[in-house]
Amino acid sequence: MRPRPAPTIDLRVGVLLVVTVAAVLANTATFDEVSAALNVRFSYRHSPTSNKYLIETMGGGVALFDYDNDGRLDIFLTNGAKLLDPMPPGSRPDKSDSKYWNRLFHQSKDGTFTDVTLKAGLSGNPEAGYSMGVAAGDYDNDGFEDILVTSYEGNVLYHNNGDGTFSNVTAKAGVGGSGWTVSAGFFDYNNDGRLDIFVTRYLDWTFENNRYCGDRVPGYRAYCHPNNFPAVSNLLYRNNGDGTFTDVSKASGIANAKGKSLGVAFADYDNDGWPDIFVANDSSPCFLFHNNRNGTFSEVGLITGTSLNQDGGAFAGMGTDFADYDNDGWPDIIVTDLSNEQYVLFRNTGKGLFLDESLGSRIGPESRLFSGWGVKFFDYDNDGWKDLFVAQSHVLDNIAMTAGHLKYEQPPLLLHNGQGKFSRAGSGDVFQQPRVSRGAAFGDIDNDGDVDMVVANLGQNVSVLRNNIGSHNHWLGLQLQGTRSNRDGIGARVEVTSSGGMKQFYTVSTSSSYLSASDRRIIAGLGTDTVKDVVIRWPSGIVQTLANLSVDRMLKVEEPAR
Amino acid sequence: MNSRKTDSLPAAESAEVLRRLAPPEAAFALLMRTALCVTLLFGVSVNAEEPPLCEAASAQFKSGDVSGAQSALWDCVKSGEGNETHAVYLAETYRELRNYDSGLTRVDALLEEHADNIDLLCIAAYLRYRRNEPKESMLLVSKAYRLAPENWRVHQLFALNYISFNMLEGAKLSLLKAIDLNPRNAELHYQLARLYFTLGSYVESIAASKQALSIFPDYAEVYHNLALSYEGNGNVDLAIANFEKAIELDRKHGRKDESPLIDFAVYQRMQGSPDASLPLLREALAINPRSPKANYQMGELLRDMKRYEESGKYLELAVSLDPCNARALYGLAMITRLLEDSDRSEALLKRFKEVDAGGHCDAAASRPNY
Repeated sequence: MRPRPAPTIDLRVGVLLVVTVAAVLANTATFDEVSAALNVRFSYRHSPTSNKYLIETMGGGVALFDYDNDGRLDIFLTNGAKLLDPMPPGSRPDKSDSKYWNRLFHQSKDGTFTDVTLKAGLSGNPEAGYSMGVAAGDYDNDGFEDILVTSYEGNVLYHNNGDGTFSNVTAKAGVGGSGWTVSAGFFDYNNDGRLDIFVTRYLDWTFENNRYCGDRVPGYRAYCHPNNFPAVSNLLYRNNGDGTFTDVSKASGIANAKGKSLGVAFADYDNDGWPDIFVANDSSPCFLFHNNRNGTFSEVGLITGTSLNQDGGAFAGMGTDFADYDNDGWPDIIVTDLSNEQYVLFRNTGKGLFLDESLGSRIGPESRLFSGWGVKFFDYDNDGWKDLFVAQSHVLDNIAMTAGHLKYEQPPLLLHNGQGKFSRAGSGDVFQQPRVSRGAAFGDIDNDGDVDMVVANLGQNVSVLRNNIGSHNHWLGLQLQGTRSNRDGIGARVEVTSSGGMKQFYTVSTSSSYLSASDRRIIAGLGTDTVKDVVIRWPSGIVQTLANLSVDRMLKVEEPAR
Repeated sequence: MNSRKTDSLPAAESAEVLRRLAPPEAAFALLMRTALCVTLLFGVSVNAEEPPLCEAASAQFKSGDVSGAQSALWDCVKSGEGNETHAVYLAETYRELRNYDSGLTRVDALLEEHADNIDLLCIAAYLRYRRNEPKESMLLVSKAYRLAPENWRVHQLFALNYISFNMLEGAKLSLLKAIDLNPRNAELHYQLARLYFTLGSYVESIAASKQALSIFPDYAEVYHNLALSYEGNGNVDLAIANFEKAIELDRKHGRKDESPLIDFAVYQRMQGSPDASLPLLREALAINPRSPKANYQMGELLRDMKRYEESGKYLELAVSLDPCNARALYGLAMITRLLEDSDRSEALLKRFKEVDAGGHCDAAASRPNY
C-alpha cells in the first residue's frame, strides 16, 4: 500500500509481532462455511432426469440484499421445480411441493437466519416455475429493494412492499418476457434516475426440442452442447417511472445480437458517464454493448477485443464480472468458462480495446482444469487489490466417465491479486471441499468490514462463507443513496484514494457473477493506510468529493443537490 | 466460431484442446514422419535369406538414402522377390519424398497385371490416402481386406482413412485389430495413442504411448504425444519431462522437427512462464523460419510480454505464410488496433470473420485483401 513508517517499537518485538500475526493468519481458514451455524438450510432442487433436460444443470442463483432495511443482509435463493421423466407434452415444471420453493432468509440481530418465505410471499409457487436467477434493485425508488426472478418460462418481478412482504407485479410492470431467462440486472442505462432491467436469455431450448446427446451407452447420455439449439436475443426493459416498463429490446438495438447468453455485468468501460453492458455467451462470441447515450446500444465485442479469447475463438462463457482489477481506473472483464479452456481476463487498455490477459495475469494457468460459474473481483483481504473468487463445478454430472481427469464436483477457486498477478489463495476446508456450485453473491453479511459470500449449490446445501481475514486490515464501507440519481446509486463510479496515494475504482452494482445479485455497498480495503479522499461520480453527472474520513466503518453517502 | 463437431461437451472440449495443440491433420502428418529404426518401428523384419536385389534396397533405405531406395525397392517389389517388409519400406519412401503422383502411376500400372497383389494394393491405398483421396483409398483397402483379412497393414489403412472421415471410433477399432495382428509394431501403438489423444482419452493415450516406447524407446514423437497427453490431464511435471525428452531425442539424432519445440513453448506460455517459452520458439524458428505456427506463437508470446511492435512483425509473417489462419488474423487485428491503426485492424477483423466462418479460403486469392 505505501512505504511502512519507521518502527516505533523495539525491532525485535516488531519482528515477533509480525511472525506471530503471520502464524495466526497461516493457521486461520480464509473463509469458514457457516451455513449450518447460521441456520441457512437450502438445496437447489434440480430434479435430475434420465432425459438430461438442459435446465437441470444450469441453476440457481442467490441475492444478498437487505430487504427490510435493518442494516443486515438477507438471503434469497432461487429453486428448481419437479420435472417428470420424461416431461409429457404440454406439461410444466411443478413448484407446488415446498421443497421446490424459492426461499427468503431473514438475518436476525444475532446473525442467524430465519426462513420468512411464506410471510414474504416469495415462494415462487407457481409463478416462478423452474427458477434460475435473481436480480435486486429499488426500481421505484421507495427505499426498499425489489427483486426480479428469472426462470425457464420468463421473469417474475416482485415489488417490495416495505412491510416484509412482496407483491408479484410482473403483469402490471410488463416485464414477464418469454423463453428461458437466466441472469438479470438492474441498472440505469439512460441516467434518468430510474433503474431499468436487462435480462439474458440462454437458448431456444424446450422440453419438446430436447434431444439425445452423448454416447448411446447406459450412463453416458449427456447434457447437450449449446450448439444443438438456436441462439436467442436478450431483453432490455426501460423503466417508465410509474411502476411499468417498456420492452425496448428492439428499439435499443439489444435484440439485434443473438447469442447464448448466461452472465451479465454493467460498467462504464469508456468512462463516458453512461453504463455499458457485457454479456457472457456460451460457445458463441460474447457481447459488449456500448451505450450510445441516446437510448440505443451498439454491439462492439469484436472491435473492442471482448468477444473472443486471444486465439480468436469463442469459449463457453458463463459467469462474469466487470470491475477494475488493476486499479488503473478502467473496468476490466472476467469471464468463467469450461474445463480445458481457461477463465478469460480482458484487461481494459483505456483506448477502447481490451487485451486478453488470461496468461499474463496467471488466471489462465490457475483455471484450466476448472469450470466456473459465479465469479467476482473483490478484495477479500482488504489490501487494496481486488482478488478473484469463482464458484466451480463441471456442467456434466458424468464428465468423469468421458474425461477421467475432470471432476463434476470442484472446490471453489480463490486467487489473490498481487498487483495484477494472481496466485492461488484460500486455506481451510472451504477450498478443499468439492461442490456442485453455480450462482454466488457477495457482501458483508456480518458487517465486520470484509466481504463474505453465499454460493448456490446444485442438489447440495447452500454455502455461506464467512470471511476471517479481511477485517485484519483497514477498510472503508460506502453505502450510496441517490437523490437525482437512482436511489441505490447503481452506476456511480467511486474513486478511493488512500493516505499512501493508492487509488481504487469501483462501480456501484448489484449485478455480476452468475444468476445472482450482490450487496450494493462498497468495501474498499486499505491495508495499513487510511483514506485521503473519496470521489463519487453519480449517474446524474454530479461529482462529490469526501475527505477527512475515518476508516473501519460503513459510511452512508447521500447524493448532493449539485 | 469454433470447430466443435460433436454434440456433447466432453468431445467438444477435447476438440477445443486439439485446436490449439495439434489439429488432426497436423497430428497425423506428424506421426507419419518416422525415424529410420524401421524394424522396431513397424514390427517387420526382413528374412534371413533376403534376395540380393532386395537386400541392397533395404540397406539403402536404412542408410537414409530414401530417394535411391525408392527406385531400388521398386525393383525389388516388381521382381516378385520382395516381401511385406519391402512394401512397407517402399510406402515409407513416398511418405518422406511426397512424390505420390509418380508412385501411383507406377503402382496402378503394376496392378493392371497383378490385381490381387496385397503389397501393391496396400501401397496404392496408402498413396491415395496421402493424396487425400480417402474414398478411392478405401476401395483399394476393401479389396485387400477381401484377399487378406488378417493383414495388419489393411487394418492400419482402414484406420487412417477412417480418421480422414472423422470416424474416430472406427479408426480405433481398426488400429486395435492391427495391433492384435502385429503387436510389436511401435508405430501402430503410437498411432493409437494419437487417436486416444484426439478423443480426449488421455489416460489411454498415455498407456498406448508407453506400449510404443516399450518396443522402441527412442521414439521421439511418442514422448511428444506423452507430453501433450499429460498436459491434457493436468500433470505439469510429466508433461514438461516428456516435452524435454522428445526435444532431447530430436537433438541427439539431429532431427529437425520444430513441432515439439512449439508445443512445449505453448505449454510454458500457458503455464505462465513466458521466459521459458521464448528460447523454445527461437529454436523452432531457427529450424523452420517459415513455420506459420511458430511465427504465430512467437507473435502471441511477445504480445503477452508487451513487446507489441515485435509481436506485430511475427503475426504479420504468420498471416502472410498462412492467410487462412484465423487465429493469426485475429491476433494481428488486435495488435494493429493497439498500435492505433484502426482502419487496418477493421480490415483484418473483416477478413478474420470471413475465414472463421469457414468459407472457402484460397490462400493465393486472399493475399490481395491485405
